[in-house]
Amino acid sequence: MTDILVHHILSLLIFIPAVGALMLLVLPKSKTTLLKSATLFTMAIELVLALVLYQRFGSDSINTYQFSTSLPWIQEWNIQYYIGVDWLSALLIILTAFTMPLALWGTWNSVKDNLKTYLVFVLLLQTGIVGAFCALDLFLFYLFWEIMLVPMYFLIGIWGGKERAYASVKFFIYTMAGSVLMLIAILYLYFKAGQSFNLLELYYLKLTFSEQLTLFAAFALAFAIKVPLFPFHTWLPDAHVQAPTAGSVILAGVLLKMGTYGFFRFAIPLFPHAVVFLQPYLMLVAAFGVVYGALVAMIQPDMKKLVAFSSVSHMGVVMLGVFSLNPTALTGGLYQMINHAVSTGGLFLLIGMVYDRTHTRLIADYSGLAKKMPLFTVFFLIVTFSSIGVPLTNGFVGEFLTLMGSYQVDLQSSILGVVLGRKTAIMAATGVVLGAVYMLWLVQRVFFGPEKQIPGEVSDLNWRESALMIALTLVIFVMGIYPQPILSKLEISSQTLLLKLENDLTVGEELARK
Amino acid sequence: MDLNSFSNLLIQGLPIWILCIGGLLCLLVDALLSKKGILLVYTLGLCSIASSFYTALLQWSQINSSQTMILNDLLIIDLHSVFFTLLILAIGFITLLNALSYIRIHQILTAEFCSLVLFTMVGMIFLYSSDHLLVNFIGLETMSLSLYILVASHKKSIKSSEAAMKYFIVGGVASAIFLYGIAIFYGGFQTMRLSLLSVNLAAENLMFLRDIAIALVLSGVFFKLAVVPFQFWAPDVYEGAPSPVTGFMATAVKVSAFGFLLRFVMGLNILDLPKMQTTLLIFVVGTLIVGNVGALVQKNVKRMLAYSSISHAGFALLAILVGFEAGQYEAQNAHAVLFYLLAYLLMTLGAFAFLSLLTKEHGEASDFADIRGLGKKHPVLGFGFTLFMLSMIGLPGTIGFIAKYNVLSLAVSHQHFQLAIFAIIMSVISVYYYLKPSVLMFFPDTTPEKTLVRDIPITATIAISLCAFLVVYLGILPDNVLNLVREAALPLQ
Repeated sequence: MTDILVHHILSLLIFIPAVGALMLLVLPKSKTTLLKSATLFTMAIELVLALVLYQRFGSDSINTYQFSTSLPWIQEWNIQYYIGVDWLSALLIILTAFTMPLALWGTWNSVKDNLKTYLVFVLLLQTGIVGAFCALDLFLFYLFWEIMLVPMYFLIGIWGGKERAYASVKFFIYTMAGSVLMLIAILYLYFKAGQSFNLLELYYLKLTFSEQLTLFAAFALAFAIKVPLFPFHTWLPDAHVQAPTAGSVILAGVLLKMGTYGFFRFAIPLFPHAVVFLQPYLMLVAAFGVVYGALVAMIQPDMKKLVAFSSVSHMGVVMLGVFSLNPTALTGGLYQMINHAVSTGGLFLLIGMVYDRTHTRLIADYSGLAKKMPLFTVFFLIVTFSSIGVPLTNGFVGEFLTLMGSYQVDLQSSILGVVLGRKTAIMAATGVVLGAVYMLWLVQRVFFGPEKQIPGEVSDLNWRESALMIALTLVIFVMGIYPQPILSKLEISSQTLLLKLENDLTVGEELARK
Repeated sequence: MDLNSFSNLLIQGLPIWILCIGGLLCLLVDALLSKKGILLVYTLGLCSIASSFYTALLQWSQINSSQTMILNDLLIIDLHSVFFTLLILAIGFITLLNALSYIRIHQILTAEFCSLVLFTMVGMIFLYSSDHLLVNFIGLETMSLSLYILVASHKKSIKSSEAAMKYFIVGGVASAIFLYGIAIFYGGFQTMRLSLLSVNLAAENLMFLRDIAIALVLSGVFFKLAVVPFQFWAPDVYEGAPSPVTGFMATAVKVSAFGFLLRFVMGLNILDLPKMQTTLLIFVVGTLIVGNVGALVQKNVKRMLAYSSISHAGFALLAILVGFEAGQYEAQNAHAVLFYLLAYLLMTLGAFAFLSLLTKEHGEASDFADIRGLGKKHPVLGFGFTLFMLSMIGLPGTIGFIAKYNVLSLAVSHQHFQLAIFAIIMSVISVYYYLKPSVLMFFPDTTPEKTLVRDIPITATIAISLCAFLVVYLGILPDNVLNLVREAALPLQ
């Protein structure tokens, strides 16, 4: 019995939220507590399964995908239902399974109208996300990638803020525009490989350099929009600000990781020569994003928008690590990915908590909040430290590793590389310092300073919110003090990718440049 | 003709004769029973379509892909024509289902409506089931005349009459052009039969006459399809016609016209002619641009759907264009067109099923302003409509994606990369106007009181559920239908 469970654990992880959503549809819409509990229950099952996945994952195992299943799906086109995970996917699935109930628990009383539809969409979103993390067939991946858009679109549009219609449509069109070019690239790969969507087969496809460049551009566009990398980030502030709190947490915590995952799993291994050629440019873009996000965040009057731009900045650090293509930076970047989910998710949750009380997000409306909400202040400071990268928190581990690794990169492959040298790392480090600037300034303006009459009734955190924040705090410190368990798993995935790159690059030295 | 061929014609043509008799019976019953017999007439219409569908299914199971029966030298029964007949019958059935609430609210004459729908379908079947161009023309005219009346059937609406007038005048000219093309074929090449024409065209050296004849015939067909540059009538006519009729027009006319177009293109190997591919390319590009950009600025949902159907016709035409390789059209490449038509009809009929239910104080409620906030009052309907819109965008998980994917796959496999990228960029543009209805239905702050959904008869529920179910089911598990469609495409060679 448990063997069958373990064998099909990925399919279960993908479809249990969908089943939960169907179950919700038959429940009466008036019983709100029942609905919320049922959703939480479904997410709890998901989390338990995810932990089982973690525990049952085979040891070391470089270069293999575990728990994989391959069923013929659309035989006309040789499309398989092919899923499997390596350590990175598994950790991301666990992250999703952990973030979702967090988001729900943190915003337990925030949504009042159409609660049933809201919960259905949240669960459907989880299905799409987990599916995208498991998919090893390009068609299947594309399906899950696009399907995620619909629940997010509705979540922002129906339960969002004032400009929600604009933000949701912008989000949808922007993301879709990037993905459709990826579809053409996928089709090209399909025909080149003799009609196969199997990712593992496609990894060994020999492509000419110009083919690699064009296809990488198509894939990279889709993922760069999702990450988001400057200059494709402009959908993010609107989407984050207008989304309901849970939507923002899920968006920041999980959806942005899909872009990074896409680069790691698809764009980089499929087109190694193109990546190595473009490496200086990509690193420059990432580092620039770090600084840009930080600078723009500094001048924001709206708390949520500030955190949204800080997201751009943090994901820039992540992508700098990923594009550095050396073990330290890569592992650091991936670790920073998880940190970002925790810290930015935490920030959004906290902002949501205070918004529920005062209905304003403008920093100008706040001052001296520490006197009225001391517990809240403590947690906000802790999450701030995590976001900045103060030692003992998870942020430090990720940022330090990424910066150290990217400093070691020796970019000689192009003129830009020679000119840049180590400067991308220095740029990013500057951005990290700027991160401290805007976050601490935010804290100083909102919490400290003279007391002010703040709209709404400002009560401190209740036991539900406190429990949530204690859990987050624990995660922050555990990940900061003892990162080894997660780091070692991420290292395995990084090694796999780097080995493959090395292999392709040395073997393909004979590839003529067109 | 002898007894054998007569009985053959009778049996094989059963789908057609059942529709004819059904239509006449509707009129007869209405003449006898008048007001009391409305529900009976309606049921009679549904039943005749259903039984016709059943006989067509029997035909489908009996024919295999190589078989081609030519009855009386005029009617062709092969997998291609049976497939299209099934599509047309399905469209007719769902249209009648959609129409019930509309008929009741706007007091449309039921018997005339039902019988006209049936007669239109008869015409459509003749349009694509024949090798002889004159029979095709008769089918075209029967279809068109019935449609002109159907468009005008909402007697209290001035828009309806205006739309019918426009359709009639422009459609009449188009039919005349079509007929003139046929006449030139006959005059220049002594035959109106497609199979003989292909032989004669190669033999004779009258290229001038050939080009003119083909251009005229194609112009007539492209008019019916509302392809650029013949699309100017479509938005006005679609907007003015009663919603169920618009749904019928948007789907059935296009499906049957494409049925004829496929026979014509492949029978005469038109794409092999010099400059034909370029011309068709210009039409396709123009259609996609006009359809998508035109829909962006519309304030009426039906007009928006009219432009969107123009762009869908462009996409299907693209599928025909890219299927051509190495000097001739591979019949099996037509499967992309066929599947696209199937997907298109499901999405469009579902959308119009929804639109047929909306009413205001006076007349239809089909402006964007009218559907504001509808999602709050009728969430299920709202999400259903959104599903059809998402399918039209081509979101994975819906049949619209599989259809678009099929066409794009064909394009990429034949190295038409720029065309594929262009088509897909047009798809992205279309996202904006396909999302507009859901934005207005679910996202606004105020809920107007203007629009009512007066009653949702069981027929509408069946129609919408059927379309929605198929859209999602075939979006996820299209394998069986893809196989069927591949078989249906084969007889064309």
